Amino acid sequence: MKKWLAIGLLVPVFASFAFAQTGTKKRRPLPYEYGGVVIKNFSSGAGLSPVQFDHWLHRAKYTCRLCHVDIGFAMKANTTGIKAADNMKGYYCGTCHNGKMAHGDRKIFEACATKYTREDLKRCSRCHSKGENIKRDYDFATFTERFPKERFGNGVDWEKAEERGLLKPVDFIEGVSIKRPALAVQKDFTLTAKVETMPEIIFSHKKHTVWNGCELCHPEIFAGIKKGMTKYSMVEIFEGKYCGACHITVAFPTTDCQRCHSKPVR
Amino acid sequence: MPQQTGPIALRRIAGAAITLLLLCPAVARGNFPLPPELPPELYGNLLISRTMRKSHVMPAAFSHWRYRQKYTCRVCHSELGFAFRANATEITEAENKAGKYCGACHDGRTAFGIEEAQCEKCHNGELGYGKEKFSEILGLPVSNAGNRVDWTKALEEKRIAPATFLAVKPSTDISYDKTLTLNAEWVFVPPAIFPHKKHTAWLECSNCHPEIFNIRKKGTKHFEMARILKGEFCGVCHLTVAFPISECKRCHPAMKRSQ
Amino acid sequence: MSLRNIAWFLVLLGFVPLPVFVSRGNGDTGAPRFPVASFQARIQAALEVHRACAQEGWREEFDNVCADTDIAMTLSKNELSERIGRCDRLKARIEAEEESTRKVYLRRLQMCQDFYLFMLQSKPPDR
Repeated sequence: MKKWLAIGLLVPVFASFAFAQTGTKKRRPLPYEYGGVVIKNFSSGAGLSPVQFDHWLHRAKYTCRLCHVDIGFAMKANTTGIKAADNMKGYYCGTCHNGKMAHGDRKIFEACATKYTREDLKRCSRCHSKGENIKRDYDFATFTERFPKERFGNGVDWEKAEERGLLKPVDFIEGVSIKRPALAVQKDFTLTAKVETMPEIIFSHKKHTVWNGCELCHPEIFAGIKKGMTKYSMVEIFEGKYCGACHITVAFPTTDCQRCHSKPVR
Repeated sequence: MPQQTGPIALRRIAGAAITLLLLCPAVARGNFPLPPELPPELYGNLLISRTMRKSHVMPAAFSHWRYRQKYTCRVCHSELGFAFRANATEITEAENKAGKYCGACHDGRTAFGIEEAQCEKCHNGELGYGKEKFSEILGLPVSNAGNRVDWTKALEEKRIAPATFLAVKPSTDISYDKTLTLNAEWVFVPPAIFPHKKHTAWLECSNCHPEIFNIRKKGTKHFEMARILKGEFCGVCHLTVAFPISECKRCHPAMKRSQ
Repeated sequence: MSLRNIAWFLVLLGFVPLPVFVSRGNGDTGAPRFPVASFQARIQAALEVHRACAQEGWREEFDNVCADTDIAMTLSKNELSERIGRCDRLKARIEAEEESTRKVYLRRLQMCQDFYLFMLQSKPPDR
């Protein structure tokens, strides 16, 4: 009996070696898909499709800091726990999506409602659109036409676009953001790669603080030298830790090795 | 249950062991079956038939040797997003017409466009389509297998000048050029020498890392010839497009004789 | 003493009359009259105002404490420790708020406090 049990357990184990594979590539997200996040904490309970949030449009208009520090969105999808009630009270999405806040010459449509008619459902579908064929207000190709291009991710060099003044992302909302004194300029520094002969990485705080706040990365993503962190391994970065928290899904992806592993940095 | 000893039990154990062994391909393989040798003008050609059943269109024939003279691997397989396996990329007519995938060049300007009259130039179902043009590469440095062309030498000697990008220039060239010595699992096989430089001339880092080759030090598991011959690791390219795996000495230079 | 605190004090002492609509049983129109409100009503009103002050208070305190994250590098260890302590006290006040406010501000406060702690730990040890 025990013998057959052992064989019965070992056979699938050995059989699995026959089927194990490496080298199959995941489908690379298309430029307009890159940075897309699906939020589905409570949508099914409300009878709505999950929310399809596309970073590209929001990052062209607002800094990362505004949403992820001042408004309080978490860095991982589905960990903030946004409810319709929160939005309607003016928190989270509702900070701007309240029918009153304007961006440029457009009023930002209101998010969520407790009671809604069939007509209102169209408004709900503007966000709760995962799996549905909803026509968006902004077309990615037209919107990003004049921005400088990059090879991967959204195909848009957001950093350059901001430098050249093609984008002026909003960094402060009255009543939400805290008035802060200006951040002191920091020097760039070099990080040596774990693998010898791999070009060094030049990390620029300056480039990052254009978009981010200090508390966004520290200590949640980068816990610092005191905690024993000396080298960040690429394996962990590919898994979404450290730089990978942003540079796998929203910022320019790690497929563009030379952007970081270059001396001097571009 | 009383312990069974004796001939019946032994036969049962032997039977179980043989079954197990047969299910371990890596162990069961004694010699390495190499893929059949193809005529040079057919090596690297493939038929794309992903939507054939639905669309009833003839498979599209694609010859790597025609394209690699003009474009490095990275242009199609990194910039344009083609997968390394036939039929794994979701190419559609609509996307081609919108300038993606094949349509990035086949737009009527760089190359013939996606129009009614031109369909058959690709959708002809013939693996050897265009072989009359094969003579145009006969002047290039010669090799013993594959297309019978040493593409690496052709590139180094500047006999071909394939483009390294289409729309956006890479920020810097890849400067990582470490040569690795990969020890074989079999004792009598000399190590394989892997030069990064010769590969980064054609490919991006992300073409291989980390999906095909894990970047952990000695972290690529089951990196064995048996797997390579099944189309994994080096076999992703060196079975069908790059110089074939039958050229043992190209990787294992210290090998005394080829199999 | 802020203006609101003074207002609270005056209401409690009955110096500010509370407009109360009073109807007289035998046919009066019920126009507003201004009697001095009962002591209980004054206490209740005062508590309402006090609660409003306290609410405003914690928001201001939050803005004050967490405004210095961008210059945290220039703060001394004592200044950082002081802010971390203030964050702890703020936590208790925010816990009393309703669900959405609590959710948002506790996260924002935690980020702010963690960052000050991070900066404190990154400072070299005192000789």
